Amino acid sequence: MSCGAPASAIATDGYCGQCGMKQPAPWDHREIDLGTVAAVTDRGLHHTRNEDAVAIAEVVVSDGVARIIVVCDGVSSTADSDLAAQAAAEAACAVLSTVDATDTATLAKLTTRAIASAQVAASSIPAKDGVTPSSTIVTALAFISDAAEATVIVGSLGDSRAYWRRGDELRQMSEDDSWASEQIAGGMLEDDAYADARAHVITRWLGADATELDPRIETLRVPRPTTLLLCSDGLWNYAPTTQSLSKRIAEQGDQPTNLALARALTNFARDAGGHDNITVAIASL
Amino acid sequence: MATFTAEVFQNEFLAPNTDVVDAVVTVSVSGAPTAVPGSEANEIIIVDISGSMNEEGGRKMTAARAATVAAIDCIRDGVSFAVIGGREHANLIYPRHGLATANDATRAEATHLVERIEADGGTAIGTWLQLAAQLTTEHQTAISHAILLTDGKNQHQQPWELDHAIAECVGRFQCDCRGLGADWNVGELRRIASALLGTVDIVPDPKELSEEFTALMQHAMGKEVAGVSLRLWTPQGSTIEFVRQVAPVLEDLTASAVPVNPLTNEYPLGAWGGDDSRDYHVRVRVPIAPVGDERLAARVLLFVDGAQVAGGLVRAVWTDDEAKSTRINRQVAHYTGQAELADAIAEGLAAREAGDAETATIKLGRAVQLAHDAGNDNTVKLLAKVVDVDDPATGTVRLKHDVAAIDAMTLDVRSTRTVRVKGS
Repeated sequence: MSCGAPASAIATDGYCGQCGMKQPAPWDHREIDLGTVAAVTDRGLHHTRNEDAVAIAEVVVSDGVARIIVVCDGVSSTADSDLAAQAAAEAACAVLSTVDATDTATLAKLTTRAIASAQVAASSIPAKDGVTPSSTIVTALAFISDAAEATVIVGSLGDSRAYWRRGDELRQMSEDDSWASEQIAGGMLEDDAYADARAHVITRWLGADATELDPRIETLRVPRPTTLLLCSDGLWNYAPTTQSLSKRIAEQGDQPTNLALARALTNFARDAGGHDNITVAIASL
Repeated sequence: MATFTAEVFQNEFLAPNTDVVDAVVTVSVSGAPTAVPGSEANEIIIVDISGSMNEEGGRKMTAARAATVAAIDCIRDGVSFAVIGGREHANLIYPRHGLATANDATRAEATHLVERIEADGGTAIGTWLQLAAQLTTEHQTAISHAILLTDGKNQHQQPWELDHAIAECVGRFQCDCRGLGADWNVGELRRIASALLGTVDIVPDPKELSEEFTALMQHAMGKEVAGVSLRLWTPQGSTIEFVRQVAPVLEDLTASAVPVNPLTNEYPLGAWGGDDSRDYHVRVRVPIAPVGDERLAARVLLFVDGAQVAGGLVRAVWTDDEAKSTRINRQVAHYTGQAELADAIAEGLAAREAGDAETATIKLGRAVQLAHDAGNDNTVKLLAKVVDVDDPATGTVRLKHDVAAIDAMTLDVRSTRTVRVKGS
């Protein structure tokens, strides 16, 4: 945390010359604001660095506009997972930004390619002490071509999530690749599954040691206006069900901008304990 | 040009609400030229010529003369040198005043005089050191080094007089001390060597003395970087628990700290040469910070002649992940064990001396176990001359009944020699 010393007292390597406290790195808290799409990523309170990464973009194509969000959550038990997450998010966003077709099948293929590209980028970060860095990924490619509806393609590996929200209704578009999710699918009660110590063990991920690389791809036609929300588990840990998250979002009241809402939800997660890195990205459709 | 490197080994992760940070810093020099320009070095040979050197049918004095001549032969042209003979006061044997510049003629003159030394009189080591300090005053920019040989205790001086003399010499020259036979005092020579950044060892038999002096002088001739020091910046509110050299020999440097500014202390490391590599164990207590935060526990900076040449960071990162905070750093654990080993030997020998067989057996048994675990084979061998080892792994030992004084002294004087972590 910042010790409040003036910048002149901070050494070039980021330590205070008096108390030695490491000053926050720029990526410990980052905000990106494109207006219609905005994102906040934050170190939280317990982790020593931010291993989440986020990339957003807006692309105008001949017959509409595409809004893109990629959230990656570096697995903290692996060294340099922050670099893997950053590389993966940037690679996926770059591929998605080449969007130029409007049909669902092409958009879905592009999403698959984006995640394959993220996998290559994450795998390029070298292992340390024999442990390869790994990361989750969730991507959303939203294409708006008319006033009534938008097409949304969500791709994912791991337990970072995508939701859409219209009025008071919140729906999850992604499915977690996690122990809890598998148990729930097998009939376990949600509350019981998330109470288990293994709940957050992810079953698929990006990285050189990943074995199952087929992303989950979901395609939806959503009515407009709609809000798209992507987040890492640093947020949804404190509101794991759609009902609870919907309630938390409602509690933030009417926020004037997407960035303001992303900030408010990030602060909610910090206030709730901030145990993990928190990333929230929001797009208006 | 000599290149220095400093490498820090530590587990930077601390459990919540803990404040002790340990690190081992390996300082190495490479690429140094092995020949020093002679004019930049002073060499002083201090040899005991008290009456006791005539014992053993004159073997000791004969060996001391031969060893001093052998050492003179190793002094390179251009080096300033002198030979001091030590009795209850110091005698300048060569040259008549100050220091001579080494060349064939001066080395021959010195040899001629050394060969005519007769042993006589008492022992007041402090006066010998004071004369050496006086000789180096005119050549203060040089690397000054001395070899000190004695076969006896500092009988003709009060302990405080020796301490006073040592204090006068700190920072003036480095001093390697050698004790001949078994009648000298390990504590006295260790005090001198520690304060004057030198080594201390026993030469059990006079016939080994020439070889020892030759090795010491050749080693000294290879030291070409003087004025090396370690600076430690630590944050406000922290405490430096200790700074120890842990390899090749244990040496507590904590008390030698010279404040540079309120947050920085300097520890002189003496002269370096060839491919020197030494390890230091630093322990700092820092103000506690919340989980997830990081504080710099120390900046380790290596200085040569007032300029920084290498550095490293000792970090403290608080975490509630026990897998991280309980991780053991091999270097830190190894040298913590080596320091315990030296303590166990010192305490075991003291108990043995005091007739407390029970404590001596426990301590020396523990020492055998620690030395065995660390792969410190030389120390295991020395311990085996003092105790019968039944099982080194568990430290099961029995005190030997008849131990030669020289074996106990050898164990004592070499107890601070460490080994490095295996495979690193």
